[in-house]
Amino acid sequence: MRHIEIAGIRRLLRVRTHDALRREIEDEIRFHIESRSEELIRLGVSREEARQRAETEYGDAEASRNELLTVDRRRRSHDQREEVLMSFIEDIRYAARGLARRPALLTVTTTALCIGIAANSVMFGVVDQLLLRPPAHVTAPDGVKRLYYQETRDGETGSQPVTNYPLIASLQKNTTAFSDIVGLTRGTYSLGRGEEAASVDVQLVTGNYFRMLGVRAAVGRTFAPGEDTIPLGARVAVLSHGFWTRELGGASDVIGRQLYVNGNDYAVIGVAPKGFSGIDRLNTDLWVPISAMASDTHSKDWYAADRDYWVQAIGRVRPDVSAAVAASQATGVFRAQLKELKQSWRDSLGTVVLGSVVGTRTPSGLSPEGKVSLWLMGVSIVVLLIACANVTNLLIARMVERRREIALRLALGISRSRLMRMLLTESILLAVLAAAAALVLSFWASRLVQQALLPGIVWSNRVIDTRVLVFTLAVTLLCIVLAGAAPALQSIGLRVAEGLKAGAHQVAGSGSRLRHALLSLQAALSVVLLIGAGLFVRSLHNVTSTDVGIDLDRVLLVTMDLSRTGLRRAQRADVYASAQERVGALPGVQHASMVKASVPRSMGMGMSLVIPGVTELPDLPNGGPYYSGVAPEFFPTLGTRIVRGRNFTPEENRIPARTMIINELLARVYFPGKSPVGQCVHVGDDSACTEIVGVVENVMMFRMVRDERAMVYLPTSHPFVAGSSPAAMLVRASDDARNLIPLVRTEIQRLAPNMPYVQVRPFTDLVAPELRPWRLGATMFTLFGSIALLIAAVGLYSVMAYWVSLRTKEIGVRLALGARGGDIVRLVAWQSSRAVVLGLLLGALAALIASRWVTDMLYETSPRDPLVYAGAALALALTALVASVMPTWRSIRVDPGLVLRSEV
Amino acid sequence: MAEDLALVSGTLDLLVLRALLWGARHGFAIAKWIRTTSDEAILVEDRALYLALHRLEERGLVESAWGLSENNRRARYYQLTRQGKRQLHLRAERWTRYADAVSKILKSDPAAV
Repeated sequence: MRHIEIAGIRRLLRVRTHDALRREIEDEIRFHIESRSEELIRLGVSREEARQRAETEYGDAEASRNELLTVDRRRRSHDQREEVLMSFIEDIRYAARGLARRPALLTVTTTALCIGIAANSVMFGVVDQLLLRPPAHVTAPDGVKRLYYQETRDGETGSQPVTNYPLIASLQKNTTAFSDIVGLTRGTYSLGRGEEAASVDVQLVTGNYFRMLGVRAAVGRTFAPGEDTIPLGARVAVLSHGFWTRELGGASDVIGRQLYVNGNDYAVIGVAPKGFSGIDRLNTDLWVPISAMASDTHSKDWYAADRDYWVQAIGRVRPDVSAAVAASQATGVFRAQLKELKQSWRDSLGTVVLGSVVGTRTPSGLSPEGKVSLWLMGVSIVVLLIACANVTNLLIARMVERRREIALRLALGISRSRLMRMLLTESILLAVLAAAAALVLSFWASRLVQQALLPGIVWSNRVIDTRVLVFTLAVTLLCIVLAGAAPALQSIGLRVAEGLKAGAHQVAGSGSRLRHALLSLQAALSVVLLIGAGLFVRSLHNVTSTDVGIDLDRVLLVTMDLSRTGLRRAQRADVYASAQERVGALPGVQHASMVKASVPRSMGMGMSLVIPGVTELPDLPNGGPYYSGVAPEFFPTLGTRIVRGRNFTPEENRIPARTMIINELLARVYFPGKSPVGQCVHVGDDSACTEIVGVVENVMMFRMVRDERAMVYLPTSHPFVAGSSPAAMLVRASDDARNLIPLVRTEIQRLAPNMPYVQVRPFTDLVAPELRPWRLGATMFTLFGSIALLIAAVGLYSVMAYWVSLRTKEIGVRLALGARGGDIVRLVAWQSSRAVVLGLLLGALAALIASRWVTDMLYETSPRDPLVYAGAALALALTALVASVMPTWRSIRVDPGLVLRSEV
Repeated sequence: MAEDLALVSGTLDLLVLRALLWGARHGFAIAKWIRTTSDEAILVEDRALYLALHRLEERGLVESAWGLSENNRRARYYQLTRQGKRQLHLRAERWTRYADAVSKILKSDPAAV
């Protein structure tokens, strides 16, 4: 055991510099020689001879000094390394022991920090993939640019990503700055036929697509020169790796197989590499040459139609050319075509802007997904800050507890840097514990976020990769610094004498001030998140309770493409008629109704009305009027109320009738202040007039919100629509429409032998993407807000409990002097409410300022909604109350006699 | 003076460790102890002794600290560490076995099979 003591003492006294080592060796040798000479003198040898013999016996002293110095130096550096390691381990042990003394607080604090770190890792993963990282497998992605066409019309500048095909051909031919310019478009088409038909996501691309991106096939080959030729290219297809493995079982003999896509056979020539889904993060099943499919899906003269805007252009700028030069060349070509087109309303000074290959970063700002993910990143940082404040709180409490001990260590000569390291070790330990748990949590949570909140986006397979790990590490370091620095710095400033004098009960000073400030900060940040949650929840509520004229969860939209069935027009109408009849007879179906022309959520067709005696009709918001040909079942199918007049009769549907129903918007604008029912109007250039028999509520056309459009409904037998084919069928279920989807689809696909894939979609799904920003905002803000509130409550509880324990003596004295329980409660309540009220005010102020930036993401909700602010305040107040109940109760239970006796 | 026995390698370490078995000693005392205990049969150059001491310290078998000598002078004292004690037992036993074996051979009758 003794050697350990020696080591300890030596560590305290050690200042073994280079010179010190040399001096010690010198002393040691001198002592030896002198001792030996004295011994010899005692034996009767003369003084000079004794000295001589002692030196001879010793050997070469100079050589000895050197060899001993070498050995000692080696030993010293080894000792130092070991000592650093030992002191580090000692620090960790010490910190762990100290933290373990407060297990509940440790658990809560670590959990909070873990949630904070995990939230940041997950959101960074999302932001990284959505906004930062270029698409996988693309060679030198910096050189790949998206072309946007910017024009100023009526004083407003806007840019769009699509253009006509001839412009792309001209850009490819007439610019030198690009090594390649690719044209592409995408669509969902049917695969297979009859009952087996399914849908596939197809990209139509020019033949240079894979060459430009630098993507090589994993199996087989990509498009060869000559396969994309105008007017009709080769019917070949490159499959995505996912489609190949999922649908074809990764068959090795896939090359040469025929796939029946959108009514034609396509020969498989290759499979794209794993994880490649094009330059957008959208699902792609296969790529075909644009010339092979465009004449079917777009128009016969797609390659010459210079007024059809449907193709995106992506170019690769040559490495030796600047992007500015490339953009100005493209602008030249763009303007030349504008001049040729002679469209007076176009901007002849339009420009081509080159945008990042990352599609969420457009020249006019971020896409909605990008914005939302950035917002959530910000929110998760706020949660982390709140969690860090809690850690700081815990550390300060620990430090105050140990004030005497620290002062003692300082008095005994421990260096301040060593002390700082000891204190920082606690925050490092906490952060490392939390980070490890956070990695596990974020692995699970990021899948959830990706699938539940941002569906329809193709994510790279690895949820947690090196970048996320590095980010997590950085965040953890930040936590250590944020949480640990303040307490550590404070302890360094501690004056030795003061600390030694003070009992643990006398230190409600600066540490406690800092803790109250932290409490206020936590309360403020929680309030901001709660207000955010409130605003989004109210928006979501307002959106979903908007009457769109359709019972969303009860209605299915059925669309089928009969153009490739080989049926003639009359036969197609028969298919619809029998579909309506057979689907209407299915169990669980209340109504089935077909619709001609405009269809909610899919297409709008406009017309004009002439009202006798009115020369100039007022402008309608959002254009129109739009029109639909409908059967009498149409309104009950959707759940649309008839406000005035009557519905169509079955006779009107069979025998050509000139009647119509209009919606409230049209009635309000065209017939202000009077009832339109009974009025007679001309439809288009129809010379006979059509009588208005009813008015219905407005029905959503394209969007759920801010999209009111004037509508005219005609019976399907009306001469204006009698000749056109039905566009879609609507089905009303007796309960949740989702359950009927497979039944309805199978029933219809049986009707025609060549029937392509029939799309059956509930309106709930159709509007889901539109609701996503609000739903995402409401879910995440509520989740993060609740977490923040909980963390803040824990902070408040620990501070109050601690405060009461420090003041036990004071409270005891007060009680002994005659204070009543109520006085003590007031004293404690004043302590906790001070910080909370301050935080509340600061938070509300911050929210008022910050909410300006969410205004455009809210719906019919003021960013200053007093109800939301009051709700947030109430939630915080209640939480604070709950958190301080226990400490308050403990304070009035103080026994004055016991307290006064305990510390004299 | 007796004949100078060349030390078998590692033997000096063993002797030094043994010298420290009963407590801390400074270098001079160790040298003296070896000299007198071996009846001056083993003569160690002092330089080699000190080198051995410092090396043993480097290997963690002994530890040193400055203290006062019998005649009140500052001297560097060495003492065994726990590891040093272990090593001493191990090496002493090995050495004894080896020496026994060698002496057995030397005393044997060469004619016997």
